[in-house]
Amino acid sequence: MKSHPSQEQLIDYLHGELAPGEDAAFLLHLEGCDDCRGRYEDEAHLTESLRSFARSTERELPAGVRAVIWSAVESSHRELGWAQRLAAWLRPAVAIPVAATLVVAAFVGYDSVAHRSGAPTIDAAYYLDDHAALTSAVPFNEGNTVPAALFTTESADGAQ
Amino acid sequence: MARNSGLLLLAAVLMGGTPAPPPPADLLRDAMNAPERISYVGEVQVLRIGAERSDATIYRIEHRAPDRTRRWYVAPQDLYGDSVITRGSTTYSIDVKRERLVISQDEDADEQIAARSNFGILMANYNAVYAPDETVSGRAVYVVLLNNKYTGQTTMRVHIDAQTHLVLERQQYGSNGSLIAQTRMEQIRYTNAIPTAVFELPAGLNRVNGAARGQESTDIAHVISSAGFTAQVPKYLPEGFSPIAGDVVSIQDVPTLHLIYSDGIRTVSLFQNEKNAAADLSHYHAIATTVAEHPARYVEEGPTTLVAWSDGNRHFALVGDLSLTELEKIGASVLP
Repeated sequence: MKSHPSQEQLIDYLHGELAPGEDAAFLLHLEGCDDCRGRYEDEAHLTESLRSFARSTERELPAGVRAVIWSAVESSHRELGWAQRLAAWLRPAVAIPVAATLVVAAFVGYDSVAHRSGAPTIDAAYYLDDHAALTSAVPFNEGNTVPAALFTTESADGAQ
Repeated sequence: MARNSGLLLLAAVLMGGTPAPPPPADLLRDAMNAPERISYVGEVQVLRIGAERSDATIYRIEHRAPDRTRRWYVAPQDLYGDSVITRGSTTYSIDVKRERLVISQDEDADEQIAARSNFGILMANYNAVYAPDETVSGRAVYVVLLNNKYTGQTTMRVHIDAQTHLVLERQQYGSNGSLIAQTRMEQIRYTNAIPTAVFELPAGLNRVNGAARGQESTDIAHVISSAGFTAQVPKYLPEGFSPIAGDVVSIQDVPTLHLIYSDGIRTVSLFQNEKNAAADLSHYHAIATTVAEHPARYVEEGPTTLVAWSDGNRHFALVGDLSLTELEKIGASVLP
């Protein structure tokens, strides 16, 4: 960079918005030009002063204003057409978990469906109890520590 | 002279010495039959330890040889106040909360024969060796380890009263060596003075019949042929396991075949029906798995695991104190 940079270039450099080649040339120029380094430091000082002032005077939006903004956001969501809503649901981030949930629900819900369809079921408590009862003939096996008849639920009776 | 010998024996016992132990197999056999000749009272603590959940049960026990027993439940809280009276082959469950007396008849007249046969299976699959003597509930005990002949692992540790040969404590270990069950007798007192009234049934309770059970038989071929459908059996079993008994029972009009396999300590039950009657696991926390590529689910009750699946024609349930992997392997081998 042979000529002195313009004020716009200086501001862009300060905000890191110059192209890499331009940025390197600007830095090289600053190191050899006391005038431009002085301009740069003034500009940097001014920028930092403005930021400090902005931070010190920052205020929360009044609650009423925030409520109005959120209300507007929500109503814009409600006004989405069915096609837009479907498109939103089909986004992978939503569609994949939903599909996985449906698969699991179908699997887990097998018994419920079987109940509703009238197919008989056998309470697993019966299997556990019968297993324990028939193992009593195995040496040093106590069999049922607690008979199913004393279970507080009706599950074991249900298998009769 | 005889008086001096007696004093020496008394001194040896008082000093904590125990009589010279018989061969461990003889001691185990005698321990199995001890309740037929020894009367006692005490407190039994049962602990069953699972991967997800463990259960503890405590009950007072009064046993009058040969075959009368009353158990009074102290814990868990749900059972407090309930009791079970066994008189020979009949069991009376006294359910205080529901004010009823549930009567269950054990039809198996061959239980003693089965127990002797299963003791043979136990000794065929396990080496019985002594561990150093200990004391349980203030009593000197022999400690017998039952080591699996195929894996070398200790599967059970039995503490047997040195004088009476009653089992006072036993621990069972899983395939990974972890403790899965423990039963321990506390406050043991040997006495023949247990009043008959202890075994009498309380009045004023509704009497109901207990769950119907099939006639258990050791004739496996006969049991399978009486199922009413073509049964399937596992082609794979862990080393040392063999079929020991079975029965066919009608559950809600569904004929269900139950085959039980054992190596003398560990047991596996296979249930099957062809009436499309799936296992209802809704009372349990069931987890999905697969058996031979069929969707399956399993539940754990302490150390006992139940795996249920269907091959499209039959519904199966496999129950045992083996690892889930081992049960799935057995399940995958259940073929026509």
